[in-house]
Amino acid sequence: MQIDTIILRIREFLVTKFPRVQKLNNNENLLENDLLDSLAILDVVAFLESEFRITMTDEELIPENFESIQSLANFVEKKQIGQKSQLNT
Amino acid sequence: MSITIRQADLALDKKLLIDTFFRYLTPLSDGRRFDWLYRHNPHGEARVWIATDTHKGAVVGIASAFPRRVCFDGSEELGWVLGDFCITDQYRSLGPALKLQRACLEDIDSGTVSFCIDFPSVNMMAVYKRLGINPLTQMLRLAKPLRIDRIIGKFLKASVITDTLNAASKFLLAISNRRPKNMGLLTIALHEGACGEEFSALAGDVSKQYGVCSHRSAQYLNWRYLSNPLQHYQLLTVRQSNTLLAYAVITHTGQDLNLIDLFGVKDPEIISSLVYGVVTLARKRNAVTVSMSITKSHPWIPFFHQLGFREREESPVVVYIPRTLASKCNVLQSVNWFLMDGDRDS
Repeated sequence: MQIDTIILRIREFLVTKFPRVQKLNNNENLLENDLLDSLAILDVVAFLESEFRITMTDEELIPENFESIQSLANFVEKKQIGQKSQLNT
Repeated sequence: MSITIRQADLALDKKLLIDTFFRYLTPLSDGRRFDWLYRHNPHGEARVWIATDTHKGAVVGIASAFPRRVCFDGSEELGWVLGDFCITDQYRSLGPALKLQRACLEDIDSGTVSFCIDFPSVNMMAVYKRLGINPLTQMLRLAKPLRIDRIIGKFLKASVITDTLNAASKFLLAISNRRPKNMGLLTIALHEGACGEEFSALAGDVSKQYGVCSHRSAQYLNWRYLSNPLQHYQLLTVRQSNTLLAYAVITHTGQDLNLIDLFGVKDPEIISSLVYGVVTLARKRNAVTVSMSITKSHPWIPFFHQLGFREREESPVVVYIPRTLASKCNVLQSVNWFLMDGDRDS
């Protein structure tokens, strides 16, 4: 899946759930703007896992991966590539 | 990011812990609070885990466990009440909190204690949800209004009307507080000084009637309430021919009187009389409400309804039992936990 499509889907989900995200660009910090608390992160994790068919471990639930829409998308892309190469080996 | 968890040394890490709690948890964090809560608990010293970002060498979060002896089925078990859990601002992405909480639960799994209880916030419940742990029961807040001038004042400005409404409401609320029928033989009074052995004797006699409950020895009550440097508590006792039958622990928050603990002979007349005594005292002190938090399965809730208490919000209670203690699981996992506000330490 193209990174632009991943960004679009993540943005759509976040805006529906947290309307304040509408005002943020893809690189603005979601954690510092108090948009995502622990409960919201759980929702985001559930969305990413079902929408992009990935599995997130506890170790991956770190601030770097949730900082912005861009970092969420980068994480999803990296994870999908990792899962694909695992399937091919 | 690499996060490591280590157990704190209460002496060596004292300043770090007090400072971190002050910054991220409570402005009440100081040396007195620390010594009282972490060192002087008669059920044992607290255990603390510190999460550190190894790259930055910075503290990421802290979790604490306070020992608690509970009685059930006529025996006694040592467990932990979890509390003082905090994660620094920049690490609130669930992962560090999960790692910290896992470390704490692994210690329980290794057999250190028989169970742990937590009264998690909404955000902390997200951590439990991810760990696959569901609440065992709910704490239910019950409140009895004594005056409604705070509510009337919100809507009406004219003092003549509000004064009249206040007087009428006060009268109506007062007649709803009916004196229990057989109070004549009972003496209800504020307790002076420290709790003596009669409190330990009452706990020994009565605890087995209450499912799973904290061991309320005199030593524990003196530490938990009377030596508490953070809040002033008072005990109201019910006696018959000088024999202690029950007691209530109360404190004030602003204009509200909080009933923190209520314990004694499982007799509706005695408990109703004690609560009547608490409400009467609250009226004398001009309190706006009397409120308490209590487990939803508590056997006295119907009496509280009769005494004019109304149900308010609920909050979850998590009880975690190590898998190795399967035989005790049925009892400890029952909903028959007798908990009140006094059972949470922070």
